[in-house]
Amino acid sequence: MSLPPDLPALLLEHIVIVALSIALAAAIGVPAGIAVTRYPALERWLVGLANIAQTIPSLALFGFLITLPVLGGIGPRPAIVALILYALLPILRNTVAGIEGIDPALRESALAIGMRPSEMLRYVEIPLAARTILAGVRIAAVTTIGTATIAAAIGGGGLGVLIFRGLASLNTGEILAGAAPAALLALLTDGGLAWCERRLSR
Amino acid sequence: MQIEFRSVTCRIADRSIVEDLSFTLPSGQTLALVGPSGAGKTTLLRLINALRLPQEGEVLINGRSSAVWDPIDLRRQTGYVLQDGGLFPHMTVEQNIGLAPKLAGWRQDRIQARVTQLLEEVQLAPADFRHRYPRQLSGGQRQRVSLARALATEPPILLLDEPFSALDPVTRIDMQRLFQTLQRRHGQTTVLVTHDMREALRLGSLVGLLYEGRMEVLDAPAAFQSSGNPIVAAFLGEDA
Repeated sequence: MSLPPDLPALLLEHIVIVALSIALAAAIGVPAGIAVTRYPALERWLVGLANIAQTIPSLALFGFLITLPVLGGIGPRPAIVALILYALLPILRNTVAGIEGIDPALRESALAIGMRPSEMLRYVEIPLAARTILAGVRIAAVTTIGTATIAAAIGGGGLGVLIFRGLASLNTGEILAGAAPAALLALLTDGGLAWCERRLSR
Repeated sequence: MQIEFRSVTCRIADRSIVEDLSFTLPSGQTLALVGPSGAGKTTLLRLINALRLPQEGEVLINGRSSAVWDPIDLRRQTGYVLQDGGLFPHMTVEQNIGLAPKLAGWRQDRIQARVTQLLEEVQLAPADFRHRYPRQLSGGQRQRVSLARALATEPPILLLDEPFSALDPVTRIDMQRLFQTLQRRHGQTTVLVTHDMREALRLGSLVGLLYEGRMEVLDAPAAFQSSGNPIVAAFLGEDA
């Protein structure tokens, strides 16, 4: 059995799609989480929205996006949009949990030193919540690596291409050639981010 | 800076914590505040640095109501020491002590020099301690760092909430001596909350007994002891 010649290119494409999705999901999810801790009224809306996105079966969500203008269609762009939606909930939830879990005595200590809210965020809340936030990113990244294989259904590319091609031609070897690297990638990402988390947990 | 309470009432969730409280603490004096838990001691401290505002009456800091002060500015004039220190676990000793100066916009080399000086004052070898994290310190060392942190920008007011009560008796005496030395040297107006009557009599230039949100007695240590107030007598008896 020989490996598909396009495996390296598809693997790279997969990594790029996942990395981009997670980066964007974090760029949206972390500030949104911070906003929730400032304005608790937002919590129901934002977490509710992220929850709904999470419950839509992934194949269906990719399907819905085909009909959507601007963000939708086919190709990598709608795939990234869908993956961001999935990644948002764990990142948002962990950001909120991380900040709300800070010992009230430390918050009081920060206030008593005369910190402004922005200084509190920078010097106390973000550093102390970093580990929990990173744990959310880790969960999001690992699941996104798996979900991203479905993106091939709408022309998103990545390792899913091999899986769908293998399914169409009943070629188990080809399915494996897509699935095994995805699983390996997920394991490596999990290990790598877990290591980062430990470094932060002082 | 002088601290004055004028008919201050503070309620939290409809429960009166501090009730019609009036007293004056002249600049440079140390008020040692005793009283049973729940008497409103911590709330009284929080009224001074505007972590709480009174519903009635006013708290005057340097003649200006705490409601009028910019709270950030007022808190930066106030050092605060909590029972467990309240040190930030993700910062080194140097970063903890240097935080208030940093917020005040000091240059890095000035902060470092100040940290060295303060560590020497609280008798911790700077080279040995500045890069440690709070979890690498004993309880007594943590309180020393906490005291150094509170003094970092030379605030005119110092508030201490049971700073020594979690320490073993030997360390506690050490810390009390250190506190007296520093207090004499820096001369801040100080409010020290404690549940230890002997500590209050030793450290306070004024001793106050807070009971159910009211100041039962407020006097110099000797006069406080002989005040004849039944609650004071009960407190002294309990401690002896």
